[in-house]
Amino acid sequence: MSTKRDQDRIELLQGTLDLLILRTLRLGPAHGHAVAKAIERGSEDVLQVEQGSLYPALHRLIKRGWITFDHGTSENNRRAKFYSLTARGRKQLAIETGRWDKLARAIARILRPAAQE
Amino acid sequence: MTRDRRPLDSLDDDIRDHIERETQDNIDRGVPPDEARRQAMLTFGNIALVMEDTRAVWVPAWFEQLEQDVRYAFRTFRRKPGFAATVILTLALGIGANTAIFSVFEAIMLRTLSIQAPGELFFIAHGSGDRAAPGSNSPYFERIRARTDVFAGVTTYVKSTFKVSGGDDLEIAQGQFVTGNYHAVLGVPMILGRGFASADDRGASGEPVAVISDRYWARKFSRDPEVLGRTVTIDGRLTPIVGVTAPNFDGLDPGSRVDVTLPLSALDASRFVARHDGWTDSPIVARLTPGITSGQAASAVDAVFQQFVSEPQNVWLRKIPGWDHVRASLLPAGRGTAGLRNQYASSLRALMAMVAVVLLIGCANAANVLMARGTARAKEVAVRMSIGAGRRRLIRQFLTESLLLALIGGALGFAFARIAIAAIAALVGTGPTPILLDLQPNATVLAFTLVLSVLAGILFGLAPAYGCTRVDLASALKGAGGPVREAGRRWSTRQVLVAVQIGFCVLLVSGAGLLGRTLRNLETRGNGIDRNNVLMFSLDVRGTLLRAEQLPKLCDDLLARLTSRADVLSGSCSRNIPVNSRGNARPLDVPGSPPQPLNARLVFTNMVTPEYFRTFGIRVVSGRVFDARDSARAGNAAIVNRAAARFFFADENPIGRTVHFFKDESNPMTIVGVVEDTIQWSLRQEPPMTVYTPLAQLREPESLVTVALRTRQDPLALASSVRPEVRALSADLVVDYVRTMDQQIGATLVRERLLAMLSSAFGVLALLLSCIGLYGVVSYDVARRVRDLGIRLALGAPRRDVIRQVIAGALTVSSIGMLSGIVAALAATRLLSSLLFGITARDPLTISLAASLLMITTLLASYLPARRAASLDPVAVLRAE
Repeated sequence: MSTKRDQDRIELLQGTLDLLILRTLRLGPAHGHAVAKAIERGSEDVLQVEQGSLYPALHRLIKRGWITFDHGTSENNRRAKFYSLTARGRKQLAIETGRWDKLARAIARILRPAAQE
Repeated sequence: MTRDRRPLDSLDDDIRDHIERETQDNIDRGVPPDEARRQAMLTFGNIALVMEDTRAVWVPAWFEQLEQDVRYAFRTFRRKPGFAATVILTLALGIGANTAIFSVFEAIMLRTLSIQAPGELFFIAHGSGDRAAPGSNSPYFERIRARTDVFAGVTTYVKSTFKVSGGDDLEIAQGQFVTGNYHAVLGVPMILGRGFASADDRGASGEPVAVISDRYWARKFSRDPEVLGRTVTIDGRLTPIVGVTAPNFDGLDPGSRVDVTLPLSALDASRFVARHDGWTDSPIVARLTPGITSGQAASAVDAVFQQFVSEPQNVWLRKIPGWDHVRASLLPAGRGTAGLRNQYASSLRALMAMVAVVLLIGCANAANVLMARGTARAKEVAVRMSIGAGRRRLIRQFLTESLLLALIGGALGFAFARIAIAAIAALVGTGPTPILLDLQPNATVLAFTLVLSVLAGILFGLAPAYGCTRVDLASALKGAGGPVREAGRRWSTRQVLVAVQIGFCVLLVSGAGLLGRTLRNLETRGNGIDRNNVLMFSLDVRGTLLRAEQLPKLCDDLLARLTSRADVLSGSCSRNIPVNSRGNARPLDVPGSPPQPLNARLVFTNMVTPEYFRTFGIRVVSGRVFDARDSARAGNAAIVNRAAARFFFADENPIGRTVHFFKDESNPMTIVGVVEDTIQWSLRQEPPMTVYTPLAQLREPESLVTVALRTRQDPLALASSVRPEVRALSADLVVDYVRTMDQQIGATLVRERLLAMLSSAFGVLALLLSCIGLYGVVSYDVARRVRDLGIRLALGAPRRDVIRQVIAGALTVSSIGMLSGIVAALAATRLLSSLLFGITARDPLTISLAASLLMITTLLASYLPARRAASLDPVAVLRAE
């Protein structure tokens, strides 16, 4: 059910959505739509988030205690959940970021020689 | 506030909000509103799936499906309430029967005493293997008590009855004498006051104190909170009450009660054998020292015992028959003494097996009904499968349904069980010798019912679940009805189930028959007496007589008083009574007869007043009964029964011969008469050799005699006048245990009556369930063959041929079941052997009666459907095609 608009968009790797949500929320509380938009914009529209898949991920993070939520009133006067990072989530983000950097370096090392040939 | 914190709340609002924002973004980018919304939806993805995935984060998927299945199941039940009710009722009866029997089983066989850490308590037992039994005497007890290295505490108790007077009524209370550390060693919970301290058990120095039970507190003192410090007169001594034990503590002998507990020092020393020449059955109870294993303690105890019996003054203990190589060992005491358990173990096991069979029959019925339903639901199943429901998912749906039915049935069964338990409690808990059982529902019983319900649900649900989901989609959807027609298969699963039911039924009904006939055999057994119109009561003379010789005089006075009444034909006093006596056995010496081993010469002894034989209706075979000649000062006379005469004198005439009891040469007795044999120990045992001596010649003090009266009419009519008559003679005498001979015999047969009553109830239940099962299968068969039968009738087959054919079909199924049932009965009734009397477990009459009963049931169950088949209108049937 992907939008077939742009051929050059990349589907998100499994598990990386969690990391992106945590990273996004580090900037401050946001509601679901804003998180999705932030991820898309932050990646200059390269990363394609099927917006719906955001919700199971958000709830998974709430369950783990990495983020929490509050009811707030948004600009158009509608009640919406505002998600925010917890102290544990902040710590987790550091760990996950470190892990991601390691993974990215490792993959790059493998791919670079191949790319030179 | 908490409600607000639930993340799943307003999930749909969150999603709607999200999509509206996206739509707005798109509109802001210049997309037309309709297209903007479409794109927003597209970007979001499958909303239903997102919601399901999100919910699954919090609620496991299986749980949500379960919820769906349960809701669906209830809808199904509501649509076909008759079907659900049949299954639920069937299971409720089966589970109820199991719960009821298990409640009794738990109370008698499994329940541990409500005291502190019952697992650490052990009885010191003596004997080999299964025959090891607790016992003690005073010096031995002190030796065991000294082993503080292995035991944290050692105590003992002596059961007794007490004469308690409060105000102007005198009554007999059940009780015990215990060591001063009894309550502390056992860890008996107290609800008021204290248990004994060792200072309470200090010889004659202080006055005795008493601890009473919760029940006695309620009955005698109406739970008066001021009861501590009040005094009661126990056996003539003023005794202050110092404590009340918690409910559910009734000493260490399950089934009996303890009203009053006194310290051992209050006991007349001669009764707790203090000397070296006695051995009592009072158990020694010991609590292990922490860290000591029961094995270590057992070897320590055996060392003490071996040392004890090797000492010169105790060597005689080895001479007790079977005691030459006796060892001391430990028996777990956490459930109390084994008397009641031993008495009921095999009966309860048999009953548990029976109710298990009843439940299996019930499950077969339920399975049958579900399968019939499955046929009707084939179309529904086919529809669900064709829109993508997996077979596993459907099986789970079916199992959920059957489990729900089983749980509802279990709950209802639990209620049914309460009714059955009330009936059982009424049978064992009343009468002259009630068995005290706490049959209130408890966690163990509840867990049993729950587990049983779940197992039953799976058992009867599995086959239908698999069977019903095996449908031929094409034909089912076309409405051709039914799952794959079992063409070519001679026996359907349902027929097999019914055959199994019938087999089980034969098993149960013949078991019930055997137990019923056992009861009848015992009730009608000739026991040497005339049991009609005999009233008996116990007379407690403790503390009222100064010398032993006074008892015969008292008896004479009392009997003179009672027999002067117009409604009394004769009366007697005796130490023992026929049928159910504790009695003593002593070896008899007959000078001049060939030597016999001691064991073979044991005779039952009884001391009686002259009218004893007339009162109980015991026939005099030859010679005379006692009379005025056999007074206290006269030479000793004796009467023997026929068994003793035959054994000791064979063909010779015993009258005039002189005999004496073992080691009692100084008191020779002359035999003056021979009387008919009477049963003495129990109705299952043969009459023992018996020697009667005159009560007038009593030489040792006796505290209890039984007075028997032969009445002109209903003996119970006299029961209420007994107490005033005795009271008029002496205010100190206590009348206890007033009962007729009929009641006495009834009381000895409580277990047999319980077995007969319950097994026949289960037999009837099984018959009823099988009847329903058979009826269901035959009706279904007829319904399935409507077209077939219609054609036959149209072709001119006589209606009675149709009836015969249908009934023959049913008979075939039930005959197969019956045959296997008979084979099973022949094999299984041997489990009952130890419970039977006067009949063998393979009694052909009983088994054939059971089979005939099943045959009749089959005919009844198949007749209605057969009639229906025969009254089909062939034209209507064929037109319907």
